[in-house]
Amino acid sequence: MQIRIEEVQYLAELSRLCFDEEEKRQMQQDLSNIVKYVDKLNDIDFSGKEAREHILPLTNVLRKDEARVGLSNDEALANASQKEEMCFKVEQLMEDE
Amino acid sequence: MNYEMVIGLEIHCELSTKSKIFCGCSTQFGNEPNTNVCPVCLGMPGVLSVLNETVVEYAVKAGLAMNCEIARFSKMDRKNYFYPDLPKAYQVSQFDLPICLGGYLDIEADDEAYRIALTRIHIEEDAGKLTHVADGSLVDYNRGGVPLLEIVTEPDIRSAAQAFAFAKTVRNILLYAGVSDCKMQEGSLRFDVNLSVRPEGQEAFGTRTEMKNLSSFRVLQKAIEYEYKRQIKVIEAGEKVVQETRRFDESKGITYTLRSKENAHDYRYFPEPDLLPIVLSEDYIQNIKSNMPELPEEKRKRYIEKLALSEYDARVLTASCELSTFFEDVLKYYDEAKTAANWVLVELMALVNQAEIELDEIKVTPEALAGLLNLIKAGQLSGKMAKGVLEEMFSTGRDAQTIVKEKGLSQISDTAELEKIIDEVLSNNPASVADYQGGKDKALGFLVGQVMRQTKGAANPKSVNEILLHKLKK
Ligand SMILES: [Zn+2]
Repeated sequence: MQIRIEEVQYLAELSRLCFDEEEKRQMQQDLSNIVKYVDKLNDIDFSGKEAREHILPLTNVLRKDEARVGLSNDEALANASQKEEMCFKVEQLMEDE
Repeated sequence: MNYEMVIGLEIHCELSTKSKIFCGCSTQFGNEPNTNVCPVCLGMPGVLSVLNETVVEYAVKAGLAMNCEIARFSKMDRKNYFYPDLPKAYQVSQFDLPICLGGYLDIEADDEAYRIALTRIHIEEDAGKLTHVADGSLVDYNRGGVPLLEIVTEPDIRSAAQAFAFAKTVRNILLYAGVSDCKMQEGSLRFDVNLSVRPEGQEAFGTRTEMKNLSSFRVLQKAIEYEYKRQIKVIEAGEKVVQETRRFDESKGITYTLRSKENAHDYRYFPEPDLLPIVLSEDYIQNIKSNMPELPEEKRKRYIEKLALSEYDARVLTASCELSTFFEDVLKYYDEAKTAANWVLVELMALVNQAEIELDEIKVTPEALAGLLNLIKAGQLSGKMAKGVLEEMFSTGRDAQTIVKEKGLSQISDTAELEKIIDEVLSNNPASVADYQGGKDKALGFLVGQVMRQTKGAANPKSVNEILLHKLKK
């Protein structure tokens, strides 16, 4: 499957990345190759194999319900590009329009 | 033309575990922003989520309480969408193999009984909280990763009153099951409504709209009433209802378009590879079943059979977990169930309703009410005096003994004192005495009334009667 240039553009917007035309074409190539690689699954014969919900033969890996101290506010916000009032700050959301 | 509304509800409920669903951060409400966070719930690269075992237990409890089938095999999935309240850009939820399937709840609305079928209940993580400011939005991830139950109904609900009753019933069951505190003001319980209308008699459903995140019972009812009328107006104007998500504006009482279906999210669910499937054994489920707290239905039966309460009292008490808990706590210190029920339902609730507050906000403790009832039982207070004392307890939070002592209240059971007052009443009312002795029994009531007046209601009516009869016989 070939990834369209518009799809690259859409993904870039969602990921907040900026590509020039050349980079977009390169990204289109790379993404298409990745998807093509997954296509190889179509060549494998799965007959007689049971479908599994998880790759590991494990179930019920659980932890006790115990609270413990996590990060401090400073640590949590250490990598934030913008912060305000102990919060991460992001661009205005346009959901309501 | 008459239109019927068709409603399906999705109810989100925060579970009252100590820690989050996939990490050990505290779930405590009201802490400073981003202080209950760690690399897992902040979605940092390279972390590994591990499921909280109590979340599984609570989900099974809730499922059993709502008559669901418990899945022997279920798994977690990633629900993808880009919004800053999700640091990972996906929410870990359950897609095709939820932990509870089917189920139903019986409700009562407008004096009719209805059975509302459930589609499923699944577990998932809550998102963070956004606050919009002038030049951006602030994100607090304390709530991110708090465990949620999502309870999904079939489109079985036909009125705002039924939706209201169903939501109340769910809250009550969750409280009884002990899996959530259901604090509305903290957003522990939130409702999404799917609503469509169709001409009465038509089988096919109309086009539905969705209203998300309604946070109180009143708002739920108002939003449904508004949206029902709006859709009818659209149809009567010859237009088509658009399938979309709408937001209910509480202050204006209207709904408006949030996002239309065209650019609706494609969630691209896929299995969560970091979390292992949940496999529940028969033993595990049986064990939870046999340790289930008493649910409203059983409680009601017990109140009628063991405590000899009326059907009505038993129903009103068990319709609210807070109310039945209060009542049962009174009975820890006082042993007459019927009297206790009466005082809780009539006298105490009258004060609660008058003050327009909730039962869990009042200053009278169950123990204090029991103290008051024990004073009546011991003959130290008349019922009438006790009502006055309860009002005082309600407004000040002080206990009955203290109020009684301070006000010098106490029922006059002292025979010598009563006899003095009664002698006075008899000599002041010779006509009534003659009437009674002439065979007019009614005159006795008048004389009792006079004694009660003289004592300002503080006389023990039983003693007054006895002494009066004795004296009149002479
Ligand atoms: Zn965490």
